[in-house]
Amino acid sequence: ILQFRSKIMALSQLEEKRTDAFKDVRKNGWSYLLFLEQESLHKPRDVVQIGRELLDKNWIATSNKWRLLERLTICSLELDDVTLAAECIKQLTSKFGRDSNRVRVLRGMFYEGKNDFTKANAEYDFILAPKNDPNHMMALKRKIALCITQRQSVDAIKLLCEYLKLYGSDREAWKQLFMLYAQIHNYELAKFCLEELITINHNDYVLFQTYAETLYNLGGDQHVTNALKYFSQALLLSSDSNTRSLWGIMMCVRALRENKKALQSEQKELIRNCSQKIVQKYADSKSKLVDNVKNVLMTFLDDE
Amino acid sequence: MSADPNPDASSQPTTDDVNDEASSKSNNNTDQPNTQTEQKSANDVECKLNKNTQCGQRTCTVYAHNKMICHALKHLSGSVFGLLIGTTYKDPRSSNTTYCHVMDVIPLQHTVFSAMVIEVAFLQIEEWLSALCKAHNISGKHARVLGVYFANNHGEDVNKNTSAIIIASQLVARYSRASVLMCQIVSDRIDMAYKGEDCALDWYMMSPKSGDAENKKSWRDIDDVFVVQSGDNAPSGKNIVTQTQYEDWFLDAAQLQSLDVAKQRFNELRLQAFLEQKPEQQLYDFDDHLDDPSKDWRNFHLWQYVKQ
Repeated sequence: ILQFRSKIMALSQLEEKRTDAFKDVRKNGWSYLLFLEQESLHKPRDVVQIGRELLDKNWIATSNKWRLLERLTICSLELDDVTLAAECIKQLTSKFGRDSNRVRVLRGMFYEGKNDFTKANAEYDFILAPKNDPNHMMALKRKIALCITQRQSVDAIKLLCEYLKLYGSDREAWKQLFMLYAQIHNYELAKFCLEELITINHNDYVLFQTYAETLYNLGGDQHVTNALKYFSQALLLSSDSNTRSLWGIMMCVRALRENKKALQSEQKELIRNCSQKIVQKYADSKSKLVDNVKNVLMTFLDDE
Repeated sequence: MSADPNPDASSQPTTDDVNDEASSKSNNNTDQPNTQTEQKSANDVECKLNKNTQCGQRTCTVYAHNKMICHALKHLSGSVFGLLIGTTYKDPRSSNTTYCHVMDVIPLQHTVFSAMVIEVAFLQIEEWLSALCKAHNISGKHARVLGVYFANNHGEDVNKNTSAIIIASQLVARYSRASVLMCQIVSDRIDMAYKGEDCALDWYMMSPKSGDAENKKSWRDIDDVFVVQSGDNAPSGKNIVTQTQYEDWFLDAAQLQSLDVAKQRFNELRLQAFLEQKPEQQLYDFDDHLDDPSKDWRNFHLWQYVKQ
């Protein structure tokens, strides 16, 4: 529940901090950018707009300047502004030298932005050379990203698995591997990634929910029974208004029932409880679909 | 509209789509014969639907086209898919050809494929469509889910999306090969559509005789799905669209008009005018709906951005 609430709190603070930042960039700009970084909120346009102003007008402490330039490079590449990225890289190179691996990674990303995958790969291979830094985290990640861009899913998966042998607690990497497996509909292996993620972070209701959905995709009584447990856990970790998990429970009970004739009393009670909570949530959010949903929910209790 | 079959048609009477697994035995789009009573009831029910045989055997509204593009644009970094909905019927006066009019789309997912979400979506959508049919005394076989649309996460990837194939194969098993369409949004062509040069959709259908619907190769390219404009009863520009206004438009295929591609190319899509208002920010799919039920997957509120 803590994580669910803190996420919601972060989002509600976002609008306020954002407005303050744009009103007075000098005073509030940097703290807004820090907030975005802390809460892992993805707003490249804001970073570019505010970051640029802070740097141009020199409203930033020297100790923060280089980190901001690095962030600005990455965000400008996300927005396809290779010119701005080049400028930032130039400044970083003059400060840290051509041999800095950290700047070299950015240069590689710049080539990626220009779709020059050969040059990008060359930069990363240079870093990963045995005499340089073969375990360089960012370079390894960028190589995987290159495979994904070029739709080489199998190579991406191979490299990512090797990466995870080195950096087994990298949450984002496990998430990426999960996505890759899910995209090729290999739910057995996708499930494994989620298990690793749950081990790292056992309070994240979204992981439990996604795990339950993956089990539901696999199908079969055993998996669906477990899916029901994971949806329930997701509910416990979030709140009664988590409609996605509520529906998950309903669908699991329904799927388990098809092989048997009548609903057991616990199943009936489960359906009634969940239906009630779903309708409550629909009514609370003033959804226009509340009647439609009520009709759908009534069919769950129909006897065969 | 008489109950007599077209005397020029094959000697088989018009049928209902009930046992269309037999489509592999038939040629083109005619289907197996059925009993006299079913023939009569099929025709009676068919009468209520306003038909349109002038714009092509398969049509798709400009509204559906633009809405699909919105869904793709909202989630450019991921793949998206959704359902095509509309009306379908056989025309006894033209050898029982199956007509399909894609009127609208329901966006489903933009995240990982989830059978649970899709099943909930089907339950809700079919409940909604069945209420719509009952209100107008139309058979659910004529106003229903007509297929799937999808966009891949890489612009240049023109492979058929597996999630879409899975859903489409279920639809084929349930309905018929002749009345299930699959549509791909080619992200690289959205730019051309924006400029009014081209439409951004590729269409596929199962070959009528052979092939397994779960195999990507069984879905052939077709080039005879025509984009059409709606007539005056479309709720364009309205801030609030009622269910009744929507239904009147949805069930009326007769008001559809072909685009004047020769003179206007695809300017009549008015995609630029539509997208300039950033409607994609208000387009909600089932993933969004399950996280927040106030987000309506029918997306009636997009009509206010459509200019007639």
